[in-house]
Amino acid sequence: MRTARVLLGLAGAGLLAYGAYGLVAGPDTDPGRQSLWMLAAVVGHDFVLIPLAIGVGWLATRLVPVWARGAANAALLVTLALGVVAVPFIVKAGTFPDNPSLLPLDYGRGLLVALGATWLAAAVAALVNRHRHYDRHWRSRTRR
Amino acid sequence: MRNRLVALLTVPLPAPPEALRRGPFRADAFSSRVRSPWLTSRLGLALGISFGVCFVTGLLSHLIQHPPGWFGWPPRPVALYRVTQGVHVATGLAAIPLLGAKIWSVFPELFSWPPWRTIGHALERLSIAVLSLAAVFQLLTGLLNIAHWYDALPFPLLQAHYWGAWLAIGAIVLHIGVKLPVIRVGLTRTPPLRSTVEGGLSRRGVLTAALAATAAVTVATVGQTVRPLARVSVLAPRRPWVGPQGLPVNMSAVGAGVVEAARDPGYRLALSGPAGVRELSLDELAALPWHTADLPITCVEGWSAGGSWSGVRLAELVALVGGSEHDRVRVESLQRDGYRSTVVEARLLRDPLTLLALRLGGETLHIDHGYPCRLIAPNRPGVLQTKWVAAVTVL
Repeated sequence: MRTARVLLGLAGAGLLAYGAYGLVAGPDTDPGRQSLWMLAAVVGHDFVLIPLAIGVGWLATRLVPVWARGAANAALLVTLALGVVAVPFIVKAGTFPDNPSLLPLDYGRGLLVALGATWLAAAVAALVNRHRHYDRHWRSRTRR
Repeated sequence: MRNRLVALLTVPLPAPPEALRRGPFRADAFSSRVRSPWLTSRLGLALGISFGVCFVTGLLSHLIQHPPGWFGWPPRPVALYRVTQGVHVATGLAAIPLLGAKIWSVFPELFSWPPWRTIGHALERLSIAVLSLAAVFQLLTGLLNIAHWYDALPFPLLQAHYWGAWLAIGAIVLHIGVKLPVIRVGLTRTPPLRSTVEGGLSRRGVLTAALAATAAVTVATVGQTVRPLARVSVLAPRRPWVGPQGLPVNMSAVGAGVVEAARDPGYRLALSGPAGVRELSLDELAALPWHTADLPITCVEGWSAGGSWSGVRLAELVALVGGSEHDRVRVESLQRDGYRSTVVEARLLRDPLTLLALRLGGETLHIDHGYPCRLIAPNRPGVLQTKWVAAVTVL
């Protein structure tokens, strides 16, 4: 294991160094702007997106009845993922008058359709969960 | 030597004053008990495989477009690039929820206290910072690229995404080396789950939800290249049949600034080779023997669609100016800049499916597909299928 770790460490450091060298020395690169942009993207991800997800998940676990918590949290995760992917398409659709084949769909509507399917599936999962684990009548009957 | 290195890496660093330990740095700041090596190692494994696939397919695409001397790319199977590049973009999109879930699963580590214990610990955290930077960068630049959101990318995108890939893969390999003992424990042992919020997601539940998000993103977008799924892919940036003559376009004639030159009645195709120079009018070109090739257009952006192209074999054109099947050929466009020129290697020139197409689906080529004529060849990225061809030169 120690040998594997040392080899992986050296290989990784070498690949990293090659990437950093190429970025700084290569033609047609702008390392300054790219680094700043990278930093902004990670700050947005780590200090906006993830805290938002944690906050909404925390709220959901407290506001939603116990039998629907898991399904609600899972659906929130899918919602966030679909939202992140859809935003650039929603923003840019319709801005290419010379090329109607690019982003040809109504992506706001597409997102709603995808989210509708997601939350419908979550609702079914929550009801099944309630039926199995939280419905007292059903439970007492099976115990007998 | 080794002992000295170990001694250097384990030099303790002074901790910042305890009074600064506030907010998320507090010991009890994060309540979820689901975070664990079990979950993180599984998410990490899925993410590592995704980035590995993206790296290999991306590097391949880069080599095809900027081939070094040792690299050769075969003309068959005709749809190979369609598959590798479709996989590249689909895998990158699928990795978006995996990356989010992976970072969530180790989020409290970002606020670990003290922030640095030893020089080695500080270096390891630095490498994780590079990993996050490069991973988020690669996925986000890829996403913005397929949305053509270029004004949000104020740097040369191609080089940035290429070198970012080396940074990302290097940081991942290094990270696996550092974390190998934790990964092994995480993948092989299932510790009892401590109590969590009643009814909330378990470890397995979070993993399932992350994979469900990956599946949702894939189904919502992959129809841009997998035609049977196109109608359910409500977020696909392309529909394989939407575009002039039922085929999508990446660069329009207006965008390329060639409308006037392409419609000029005085258009001539300039041929040059060992036997001299010749200029062909469109009628002269169309009087040569016609052939038909059913070939896909595959964009680097991950969409693809098949078309039935007919026109003149490039090898037969080249023969008019003394070129042979062993020559390499440069094909140039009327475009002033952008993807205005490409080289066709001898192996591809010999291929009977390599055409200068004049028609698509039986109709005169639409100007956005390259009227008066365009290069169409098997197993090649769309950016190398030069449109609005003005000149063919034997090299």
